[in-house]
Amino acid sequence: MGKAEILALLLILLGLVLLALFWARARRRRPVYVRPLSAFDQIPGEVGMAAEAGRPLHLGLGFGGIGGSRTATSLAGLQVLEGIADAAVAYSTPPVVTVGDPTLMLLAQDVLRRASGRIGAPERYDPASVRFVAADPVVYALGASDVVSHDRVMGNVLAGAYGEEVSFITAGGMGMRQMAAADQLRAVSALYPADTFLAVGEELYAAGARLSRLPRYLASLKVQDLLRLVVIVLLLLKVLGLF
Amino acid sequence: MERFGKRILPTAVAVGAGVLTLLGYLLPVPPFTTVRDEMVQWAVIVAAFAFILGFFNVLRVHLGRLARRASGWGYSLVLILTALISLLITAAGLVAEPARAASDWWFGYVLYPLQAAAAGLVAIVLAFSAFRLLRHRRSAETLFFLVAALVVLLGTTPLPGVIGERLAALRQWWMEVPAMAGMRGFLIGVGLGTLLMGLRVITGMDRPHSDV
Repeated sequence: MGKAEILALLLILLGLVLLALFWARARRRRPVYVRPLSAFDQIPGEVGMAAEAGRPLHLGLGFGGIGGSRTATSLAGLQVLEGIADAAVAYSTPPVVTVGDPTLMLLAQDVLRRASGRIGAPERYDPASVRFVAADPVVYALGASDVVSHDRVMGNVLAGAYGEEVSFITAGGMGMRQMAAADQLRAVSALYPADTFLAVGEELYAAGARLSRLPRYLASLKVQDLLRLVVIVLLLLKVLGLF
Repeated sequence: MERFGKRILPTAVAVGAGVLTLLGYLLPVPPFTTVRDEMVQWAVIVAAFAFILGFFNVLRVHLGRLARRASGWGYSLVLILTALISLLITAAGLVAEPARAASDWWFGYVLYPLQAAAAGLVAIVLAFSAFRLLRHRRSAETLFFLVAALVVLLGTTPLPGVIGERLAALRQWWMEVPAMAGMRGFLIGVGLGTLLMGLRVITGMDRPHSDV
């Protein structure tokens, strides 16, 4: 095992220990502060407005899937769906979800199915509310843009794996409220000019903590902050030649 | 029994598969790497089946639009016909050697050019977004963003003379120092988020695969 593998293993073990500690603490309902993130803070209000208008939100989960290099990004985007599914299904305005990978389609359908079951209305589950648009990122963006432009959606939420082609979707959503979260620089640089509430980089991974406030997400966020400090200290020590 | 099938078993399988694959990367020795490679192969096969389900999802959504005569149903009809033609041609190309040429033609002269045409629109839409940014959000941040984009754009263009050389040098410094620093900080944060996401799935804390 090389030095890099050993460091990676130590970081993983440290992350595991801290995650367990903070999860136990969060489950005891100790308050955990999560700083405001406008991209996610707007979403519950949008769900309510969509319910009043009787029109769904569009939730784009990007072209990533499960099993590839964008798995973590896709799961982070799925947290947004998990955060709004119960309320949206209860209001009978489940979001129109577009995905660019069928493996993510299956998970997204499962989230909506479980939400329908939890609120005691399994008949409200419609598998067609999750749409596999296309496997190619650009074609996916064009298809999602079509959904946003023509399917009478109330608002546009984008969270997941995107590249610069996300500008198609934001162009299609001009005039409506748009919220976006991306962890790739190319997507962020395309989203910045668009009129969106934007969560950048690691803020995407705070979606669960901000929307559902479940103990595991809150604990994960605290551990992320601590590990970032550890990495900064290691970098400084390396620069100073002490490591 | 229901709890076992819907919660315990999927979680156990996910945790076991995750731990074995992780060990395969951290300890690259034969038993672990063999298991890791096998798991990755299985994931590819499962993903292939998911694509079949995705195809049926596309048909379901667009046949529904066709049946309801919803807005844009004509495009749905074209999509369904094109999808079925692609499926038939590709299947024929796999089964019968003479049909391979038709399959190659379909991909080379129809699908790929259409994808390239769509990709070519990205630059135009981005330019349009930048123009809208100037109109609707005038701030120091916006100015800085646009100046940075201009420096990189002009520095990449092979302009003649001293101006071209200075711009190229400025672009190089911009990319190698402030942009690289920002990018690395960005990537460290994303890497940590990815790590924590993976740890939550491997420990069974996050269970997107089972009924919770």
